[in-house]
Amino acid sequence: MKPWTVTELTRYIQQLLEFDPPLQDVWLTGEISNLSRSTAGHLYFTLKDAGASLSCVMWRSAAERLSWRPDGGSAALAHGQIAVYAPRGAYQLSVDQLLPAGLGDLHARFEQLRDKLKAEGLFDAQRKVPLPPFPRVLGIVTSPQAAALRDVLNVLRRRYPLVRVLLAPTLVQGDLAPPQLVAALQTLASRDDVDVILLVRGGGSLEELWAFNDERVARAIAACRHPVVCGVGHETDVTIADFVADVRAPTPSAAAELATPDQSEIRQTIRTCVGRLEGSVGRRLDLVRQSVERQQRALQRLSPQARVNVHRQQGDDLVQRAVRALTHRLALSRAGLAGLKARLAALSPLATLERGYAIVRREDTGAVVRSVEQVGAGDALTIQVRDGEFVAVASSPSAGLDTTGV
Amino acid sequence: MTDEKDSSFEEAFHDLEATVRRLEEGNLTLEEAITLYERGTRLARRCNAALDDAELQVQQLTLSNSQTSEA
Repeated sequence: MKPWTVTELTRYIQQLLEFDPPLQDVWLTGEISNLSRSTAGHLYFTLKDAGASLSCVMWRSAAERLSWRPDGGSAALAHGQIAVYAPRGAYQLSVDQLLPAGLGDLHARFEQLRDKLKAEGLFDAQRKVPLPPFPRVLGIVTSPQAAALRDVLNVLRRRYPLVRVLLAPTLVQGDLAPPQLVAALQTLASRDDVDVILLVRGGGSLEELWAFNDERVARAIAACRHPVVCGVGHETDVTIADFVADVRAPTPSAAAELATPDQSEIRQTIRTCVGRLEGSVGRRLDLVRQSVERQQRALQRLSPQARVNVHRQQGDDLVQRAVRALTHRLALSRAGLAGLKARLAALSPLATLERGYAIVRREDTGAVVRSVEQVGAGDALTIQVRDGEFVAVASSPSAGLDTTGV
Repeated sequence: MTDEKDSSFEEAFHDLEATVRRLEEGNLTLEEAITLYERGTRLARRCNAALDDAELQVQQLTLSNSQTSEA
């Protein structure tokens, strides 16, 4: 068998290690020793325990993001990938996350619980209950002294003061918090009048927010029949409660905003509705008015008044009375109008003149003569016939048959 | 449509929107149109008044391990 070269053997070992999946996603606990930082900013150290030690390197880009100062002797939790450094024939851990052991423990527990509850389906989208658009009663689970509550109440006052708030006071950090949070959630869940629940807490460290990563609290949220809006910490803080809740809000104030409608938007909608009501009715009334005006104009065209004026018969009482009576009737049907047209034509003095009647006036006053008593012998009279007029002098007036009613 | 007097804010608001839609649909006598208009403006006044008069009410519950009572 042909012997390996050193390079070939090293490459073989390198591929064995670097293509092995568990070795490329390693979580490791150990004690830090031999810590040094190169001038380029890379962090070199060893992680060891009683039985073994492992060289580690944390490249500058990851090392810069550390929020704590690791030092020799401290217990740590590291995450990274195994790599082989061929020139020295050594394997090492290339570290991308380094956490102090206590905190690392919390992170690991967070991820474990998250994965467990997710597998149970507690985070599923279908489980989420929709928020009511106009909640009448809003429950809040939080500390009564905290700024988070003040912020939430301010938002509610501004946006939707119609809502009635039920405050279920609890501790929001420490070991005693989870049972209280559970009791508060259960109390609100058992009430029929509650429409939505806010679970809120201001910002804090991972330990301070830890109660919202508690399994009991997560299950209480999941079991709650009313929708729960979770607004814990700042934008970047994510807790298990956020995953289980029906809606996740980045902050307590945002939770209050998501749970309620905005009264200024409601008022705008009301204004729009009123505008539409007025527009609709206004258009309808315009149509009625136009119809009435059309009929009035039709009436005007038929009116003998125009013809009367042309022939200077303004004083004709009969025609004026007919016109006045007709213009008072606004609701005319077409049939009615046609009938009236016919009657108007018959009433028109011109039709009368056609038939041979004449209109007699006193020449001095212009008054229409209807009675023999208006005339004395010798009075000058203007006689209007169909196609003109002439003057006549009365003689021998005498009373005869009274034909009123014609 | 719901009885105006006892309805909640949400019911009154939805009633207002439904009234506007009915009115805009058409096929109404003039009398029906005016009635809907009056109903709509009444509802709008009610909704605005409810918002104007509202003051946020906050009630703190007393929680104990075994039972709850209201403060």
